[in-house]
Amino acid sequence: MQKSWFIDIPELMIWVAYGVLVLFFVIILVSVGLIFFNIYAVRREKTNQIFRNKARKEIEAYWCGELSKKSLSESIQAHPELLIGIVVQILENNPKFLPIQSIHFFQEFNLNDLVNAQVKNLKSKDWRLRQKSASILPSVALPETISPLLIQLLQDDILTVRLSAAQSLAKLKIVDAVPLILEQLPLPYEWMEKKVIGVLNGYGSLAIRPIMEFLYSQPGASAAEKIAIAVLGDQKADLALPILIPYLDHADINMRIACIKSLGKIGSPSTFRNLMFASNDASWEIRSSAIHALAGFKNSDVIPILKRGLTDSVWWVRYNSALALKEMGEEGVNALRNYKNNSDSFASDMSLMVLETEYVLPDMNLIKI
Amino acid sequence: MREILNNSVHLIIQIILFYFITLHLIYFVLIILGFRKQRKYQDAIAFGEFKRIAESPLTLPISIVISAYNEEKMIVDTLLNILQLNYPKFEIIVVNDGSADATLALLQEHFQLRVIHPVIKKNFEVKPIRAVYRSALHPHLMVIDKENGRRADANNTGVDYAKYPLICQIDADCLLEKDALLRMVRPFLDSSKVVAATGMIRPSNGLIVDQGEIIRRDLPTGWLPMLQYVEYLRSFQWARAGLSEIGCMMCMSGAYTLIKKDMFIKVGGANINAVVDDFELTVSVLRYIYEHRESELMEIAFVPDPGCYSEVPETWKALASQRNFWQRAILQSLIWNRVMAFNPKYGVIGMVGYPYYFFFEALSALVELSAYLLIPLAYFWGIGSLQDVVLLFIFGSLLGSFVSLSAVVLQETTRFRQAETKALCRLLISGFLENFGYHQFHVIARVIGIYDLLIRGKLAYGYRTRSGYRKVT
Repeated sequence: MQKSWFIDIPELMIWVAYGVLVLFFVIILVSVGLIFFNIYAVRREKTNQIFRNKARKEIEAYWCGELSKKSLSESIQAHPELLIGIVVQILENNPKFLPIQSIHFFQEFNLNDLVNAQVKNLKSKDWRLRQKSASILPSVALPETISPLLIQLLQDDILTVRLSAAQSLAKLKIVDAVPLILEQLPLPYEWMEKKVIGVLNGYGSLAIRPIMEFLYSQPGASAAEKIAIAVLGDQKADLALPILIPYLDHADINMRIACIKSLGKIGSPSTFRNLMFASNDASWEIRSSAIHALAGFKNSDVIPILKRGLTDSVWWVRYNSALALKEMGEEGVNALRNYKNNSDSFASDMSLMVLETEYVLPDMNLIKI
Repeated sequence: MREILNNSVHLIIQIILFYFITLHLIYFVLIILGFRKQRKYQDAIAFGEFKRIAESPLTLPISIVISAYNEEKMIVDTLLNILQLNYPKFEIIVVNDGSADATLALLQEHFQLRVIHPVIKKNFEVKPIRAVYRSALHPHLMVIDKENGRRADANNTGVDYAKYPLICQIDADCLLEKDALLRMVRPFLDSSKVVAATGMIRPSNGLIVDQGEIIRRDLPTGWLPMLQYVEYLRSFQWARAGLSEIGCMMCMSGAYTLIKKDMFIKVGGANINAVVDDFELTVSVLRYIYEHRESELMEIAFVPDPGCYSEVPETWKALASQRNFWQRAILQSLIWNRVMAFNPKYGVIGMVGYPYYFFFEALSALVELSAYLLIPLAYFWGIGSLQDVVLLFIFGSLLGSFVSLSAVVLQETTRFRQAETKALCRLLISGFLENFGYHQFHVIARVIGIYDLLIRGKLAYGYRTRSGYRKVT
C-alpha cells in the first residue's frame, strides 16, 4: 500500500470509474446486439426476397389457371404479411392481370384482415402509413369501399399523401374527385404542375368534362387553371375549344402560353387563325409558343409564318421557327436553305446553325435562358 | 521535500484524471446533441423541398472555388463530379496554386482550356497570376494559374474572380453528393441572418468513383482510414453538430464551406499568414458577427447531412503531418483571437466556445501526453499507485472507446446505417480500437505541432500524399 496522501483519491472517482466500466460493458453489449440484429435483418431480407420471388411466380401461375388453390394456399402461409406488396408488384409489372383478380384473391384465401389493416392505415397518425396505404389500396380493395376515404385524403396536411390519394383516385377513374384534385394539389412549381397533369391524364378522356366544368366555375388565374388547360390539350379535347379560346386574351401571360400550347396539341383547323394572330404578339414568349404550336399543324400555310419568325428580333423565336421549318420536311428545309444567304444576317445565321446541327433541344417551346 | 513532491504529483494526477472525465463527458453530450440536431433536420425537410430549391429562380447562384496544389491524382475526377452537381446556377473556379506536377496539363487536356482576359474588381493582394482560362467544353469552368502562395492565397484569388454572391470553398480532393449544394444553400434561403454554412465530411477512401460519379459508398479498405472514419463520425459528424446546436461551432471545414461573398470580403478574406485558413476564417466571421451586432445576430449554419467526402491519410507519416498541421492551425488562431476568451462581448462563443476549443482541443494533446508519461513514471518511481494507472486506462481509453462506439451505434439508428454485417463489424472494431494506440499516436503528432508553432514558427503543411479514388473494376 502507498503511504497516506495529502489529498486522498476521492471515493467519487472510484465510483465514476465503476460507472465507466458499466457503461463500457453496456456499449459492448449493445454493439454485439447490433451485430446480431444486423445478421438477423440481412438474413430476414434474404428469406423474404426468396419468398417474394416464389410467391410472385405462384400467384401468377394461379391466376393463369396453372396452379391449384390448395398448392398456393400452402406456400403463401409462411409470410402472409408480404402478400399485399407482392400482389401490387404483380399488377404494376404485368398489365394482363387486373385489380379485380387481386381483390378476389384476398377474399378467396381469407386474407381480408390484411386489406382491412391497410384501410385502417388511411386514418393513421403516421403520414408514411397513410401515404403507403393510399398507393396500395386501389390494387387490393373494392373501389366503392375506399374511394370516399381517398377523397377525404385529398385534404390531408401532407402533400405527398394528397398526391398518392389523387394518383389512386385516377387509377380507379373516380371522376367526382377531379375538381377536388384541382383544388387541393396544385402548387405554383413546375415539378408539381407536371405531377398533377400526369395524375389527371391518368383519367384519360374521362377527365375532360369535369375539367371543363371546373373552368366554367372557377375563373381567374391560378395554378389549377393552368393545369386544367394543359390536360385539355393533352387529351385533344375539341369540345373544350369554346372555353380555351378566351384564354388567348387572358391578362396572365402564363395562362395565354398554356392555352396556346393546348391549342397546338389539339390541332383543330378552327384555331389556326387565333394562333396566327398570337405569332404576331408583342411578347416574344407568346410568339415563340405560337410558332411551336403552329408547327404541329404540318400545313404549308404555316411556312410563311415560320419564315417571318426567322427574322424575329428575339433569338428564341428565330430558333423555334428554324427548328419548326426543319421539321416540316422538304418544303421547310428548302425555305431554310433560301435564307442561308439572306441579307438579314440573324436569319441566315440561324438557318445555317439549324441546318448544320443534328441537335434539337428537348422542349423547344419556351426554353428558359 | 519528498512529501511535497509526492503530494504535488498526486494532485496533478487527480487533475489530469478529472480532465479526462470532463473531456469525454463533453464529447458524449455533444454527440447526443448532434444526433438530436440531425433528427430535427431530417424531420424538418418538407416533401419536394429540394426540387423547389432547384427550380426556384430565387435560389442564389454559387461560385465554387477549388484550390489545387499538386492534385494531379484527384483534380479531374473532382471536377467531373462537381460538373454533375444538381444546382440551378453555379460556376467553378479552379485555382492552380503553382502546382509542380501535371495538374494544369491534365486540366488543359480534359477540359480544353482557352486563355481569357476577364476584367475583375480586385479585393485582395495575391501572388502574381500567370494566366486565366475558360473551358471550351464547360463555359462555367474557369481555371486560374498562379504562382504558389498556399491555400488562403488561392482562395482569395478565386473569390476575386467569382461573380456570384455565394462562395463555396472545396478542396481538390473532395467529392460532393449530387444535391450537396441544394442542401447547403437551404439555411441561406431559410433565414437572411445566415452568412455562412458548413456541412458534414466523411472520408472518401472507400468510395468507388467512375467519371466523377460516386458509384458505391463503401467503407475504406485499410484500417488506418477506418480509424479516421470513426473519428470523423464522432468529431465532424456528431460533435460538430452538437457544438452548432449550442452556438459554439468555431470551425467551418475548409473542404466544404459556403459563405456569402460580401462577408468573405468584409473579414479580409482568408488569412495568408495563418497555418490553415479555415479555422481562422470561421473565427474572423464570428468576431465580425459579434463586433457588428445589429438588431439580430448573424449566424453560421451547420448542415447535419453528409454531403462531402474528402481523402484521409493512408500512411502514419501523412497522418502525423496532418494532425500536426491542424493543431498548429487551432492554436495559432486561438492565440491571435485571445481577446475573445471569457469575454461576454462575444456571447456564447466567448464564454463557452472559445474556452472549450482552448482547453479541450488546443491543450488536450499536452494534457493527454503528460498523463501517458507522468502516471506510469510516477508508478515506476513509487510515487503513484497502480490504482492511478488503472484509472488512467479507464478514463483515457475505455471511456474514449465508449464515446466512439456510441457514435457508431447512433449512426446505425439513422438512414446511413451499414447494409452489410462485415462493414458494421469493421466499424465497431475501429470504434473500439481507436483509443488503443491510434489516438495516442496523434496526440504525439499534435504535441510536436505545438512545438513547431510556438518554437519553430512553422507554417507549411509538411508531408502529404494522395492515393486517388477507387475506380470501377
